Amino acid sequence: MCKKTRQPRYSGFFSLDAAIALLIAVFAYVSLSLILSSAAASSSSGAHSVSSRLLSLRLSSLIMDEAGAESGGFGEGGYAKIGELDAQRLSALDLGAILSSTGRNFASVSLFSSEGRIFFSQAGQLPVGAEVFCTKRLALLSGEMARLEVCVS
Amino acid sequence: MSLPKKHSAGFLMSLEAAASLMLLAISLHALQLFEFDSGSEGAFYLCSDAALVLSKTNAFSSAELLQEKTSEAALLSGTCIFSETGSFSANTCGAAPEGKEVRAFSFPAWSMGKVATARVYCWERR
Repeated sequence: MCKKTRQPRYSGFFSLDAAIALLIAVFAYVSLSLILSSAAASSSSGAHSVSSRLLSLRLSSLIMDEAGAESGGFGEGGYAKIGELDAQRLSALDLGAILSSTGRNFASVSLFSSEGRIFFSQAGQLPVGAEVFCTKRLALLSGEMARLEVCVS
Repeated sequence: MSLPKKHSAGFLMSLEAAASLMLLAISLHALQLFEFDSGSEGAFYLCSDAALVLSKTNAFSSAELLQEKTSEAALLSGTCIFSETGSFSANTCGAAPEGKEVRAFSFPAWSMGKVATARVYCWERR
């Protein structure tokens, strides 16, 4: 007489443990890929922000240097007065040429005295919704304090 | 004879959970190290400019002029500036709050007819 054996509830490849293991594996994979993609996006955004801020800082130093006041000295060349701006030299700056060398879309230079804005120049087009990075500097213009603002995008 | 009582360790008390929490704490602390960019390089240059401008305008020659020029520099730069020599000082925002990042520059300047050590401190407004 044959004895009937009881059939297991789950047979073949499928089992409850395997299903849970698969679920955990899929969840872990999705979590890891989400973390990696968000870390990559964050570092890309951070790198762009850092490079833009440093660019605006260096651009402000360049403009302070190029538009700096000069005084007579020995020989052919004069000497630059650090931290002092010359309004004529600032107006004569070719901002478009500077912008093209940076590879950016937009740059602007503003000069403010205690009464308000006294100079503004811009080059390029500011894309809609683009982030603008500005650097503020202090300088003297004809003996008076002024704030130079250089922005890039 | 009675069997020993079986202890059921809950998940929160398990060794794995403790290790996981420790790893999580380490990860959270490590995340702060990745914030390499504080964005304060512009403020450093701005304070350096303020020190240069104050020095060039002969602001340290008298207490009134120092207060006037310090206030003007603080207004234009949008930061808080405290400047001093050994004889007098000028302030624009009161004392710097606890934990605030303060940048300072020391340099020689003419003050009341003699060379003195001038100091300029800058920090961001609240």
